[in-house]
Amino acid sequence: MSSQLDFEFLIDTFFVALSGVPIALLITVVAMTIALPLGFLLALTRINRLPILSQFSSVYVSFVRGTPVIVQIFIIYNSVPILLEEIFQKYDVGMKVYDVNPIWYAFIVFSLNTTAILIEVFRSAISTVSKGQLEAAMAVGLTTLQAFRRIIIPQTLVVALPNICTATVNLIKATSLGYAMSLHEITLRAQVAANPGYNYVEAYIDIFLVYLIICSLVEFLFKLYEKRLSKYKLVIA
Amino acid sequence: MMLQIKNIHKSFGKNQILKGVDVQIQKGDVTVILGPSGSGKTTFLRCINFLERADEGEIKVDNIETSFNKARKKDILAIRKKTAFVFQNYSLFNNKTALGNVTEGLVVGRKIPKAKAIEIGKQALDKVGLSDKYDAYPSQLSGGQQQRVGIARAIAVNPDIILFDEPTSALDPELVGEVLEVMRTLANEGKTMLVVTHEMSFARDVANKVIFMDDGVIVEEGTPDEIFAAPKEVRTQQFLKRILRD
Amino acid sequence: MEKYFDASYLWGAFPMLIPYLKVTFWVVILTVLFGTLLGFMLAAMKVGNSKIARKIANGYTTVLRCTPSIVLLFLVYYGVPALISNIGIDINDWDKIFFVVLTFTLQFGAIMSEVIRSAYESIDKGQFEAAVSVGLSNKQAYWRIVVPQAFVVALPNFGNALLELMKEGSLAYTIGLIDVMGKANLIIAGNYNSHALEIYIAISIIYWILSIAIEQFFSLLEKLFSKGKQVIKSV
Repeated sequence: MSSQLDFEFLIDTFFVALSGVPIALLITVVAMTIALPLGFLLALTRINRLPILSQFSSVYVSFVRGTPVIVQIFIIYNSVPILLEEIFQKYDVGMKVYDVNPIWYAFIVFSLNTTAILIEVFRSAISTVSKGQLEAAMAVGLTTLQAFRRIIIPQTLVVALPNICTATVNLIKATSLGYAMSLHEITLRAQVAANPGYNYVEAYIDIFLVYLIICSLVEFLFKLYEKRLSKYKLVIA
Repeated sequence: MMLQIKNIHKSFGKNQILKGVDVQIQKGDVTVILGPSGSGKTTFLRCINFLERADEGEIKVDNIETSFNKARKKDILAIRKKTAFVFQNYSLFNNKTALGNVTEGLVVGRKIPKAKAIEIGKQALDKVGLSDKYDAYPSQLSGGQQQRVGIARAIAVNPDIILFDEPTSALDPELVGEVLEVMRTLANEGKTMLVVTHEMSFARDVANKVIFMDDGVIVEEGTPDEIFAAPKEVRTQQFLKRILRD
Repeated sequence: MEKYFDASYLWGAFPMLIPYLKVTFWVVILTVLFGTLLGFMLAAMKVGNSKIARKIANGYTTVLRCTPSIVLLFLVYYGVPALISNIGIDINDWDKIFFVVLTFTLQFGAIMSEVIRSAYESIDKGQFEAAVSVGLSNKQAYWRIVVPQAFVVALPNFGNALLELMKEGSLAYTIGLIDVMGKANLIIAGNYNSHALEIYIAISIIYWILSIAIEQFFSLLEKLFSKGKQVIKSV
């Protein structure tokens, strides 16, 4: 079998793969928007050892971090639609479960997954911000909410930023598994394009390049933000 | 003569730190090197046992003679076996006990049988007053105790000359005394010592030779009396005035 | 009508799945072996004196960290045979496990190179200097003083990398490897794609237990090797 690369296909499929990028980014943004505050709050319950919530978080994190993402995807994809079906029938919603865009399941799975990851990230970040900061803030008369908003959270973010960057990059990579839910993201689109001519190598090269570009961009953006933040740190010091 | 350095030069990038220094040390000398920071005194010390590689110059340690830029691995190893180094930050081996720290150079470096090495090691630790800390790890010791282990590690290998790089600078004031005490004892026993330090009391009372370095050269050298009571050079006078004001 | 969720499928799945853990273990062990070797080579390149070597090693690490496992898997599975067919050898019939181990070795090697590099760099230079000052050769100084300490620093990160490897390895089924995950999919196909949820829950429990076991094991190892160190425990 000849293994000359079909360059025309390579270039065409690159743009097909690129067309899946918005979906991947949408999922990432939605998941992060939910996971960041939720992860932070649940991390607090762990640090303050709130009963019930703390144990629940602990088990939840252990499960999510102890099982492969693809298994989590399969579990959600094989359970949520059924639940949805029951709800639709019960409340007589006119929609069929088949019409639900798989992206909603993606939102659920990746939000749950990322929240668990971020709980651990925040747990270690918060504990490095010394307790004295909170006490000092209270002493000058800030309410707990103000203390968190103005003193604790900004410092936590700086410490957590590298790990949040890693989590974001991992999330973007994980969206590649969305094909298992028939999600038309980067990988699936390029695969579909590859099927007719068996141009699998070219397709996967394109997919690989697209992910490389996005991830590098995201890492670069995070580094920029980190630099900006540490400039702020130096001034204070 | 125990140690002779001729015309040593060392640059880091564009910065020339050592601009031609000559030093001679006799057996039993306790020599203190003084000088402002950046004068090159630590670099000078670190060049002697090749922790830094000088750019040019000659070195003679007992019967080993070589030049800094052409020294072979054999020569470097031989020189290191004749010298011992006490670090400012102690640099104790974190993964070994006090006794382990002291015997490492004996067993591995000099192939001395373990039993004999342990005997020597214990004697060294006893000498610095740490007979009850043979099995302690560095993390379990205070700064002063760690530095004393560092000194024990240095004397256990029975070197011709001991090099001290600001041995008390990283210590809390209360702990400085115990380390200086050990160094005083060693000096009184006739050990050859080359000490970079800011501790003027040690320089005045224990040293028999003082070298003042500034800006990569030796400005003045002499006995403690000569340097402290009647410094000849202006730079020396200025430095001493600043230091001795406290 | 048949129940949607039938717990008997769940319990029944375990005895069918567990034998296939052998394949999963083999993949992990081989990958760790080759991947750690690769990681050492890359780490050496990163801390060495050659600027080119450093750039290559760092570039390799970045590229692999930005590539999803499944994409890498397909790239290797389709791409490597195509590449090698250029020199006339046909490896299309080689056992799937070869491609799986190759893929994850490339990935694990990149991760390990960072683990090794950062552990090595975290050891204060003074340790090496003190060692050579008492007369140890460079090699002795590294192996007796620096490496043991770097090993302890690297241990937790190595444990994490191992866990990630085990989980990412679950994607091997996509190129047809019948490990524990591959078997799970076979079972489901055999049931005409019904009762998938029970099987997936069963396999998630298997992975969960394995993860906890590995975590505990590494916690133990860390405690063992930290004797004599003051461990800083965060809250």
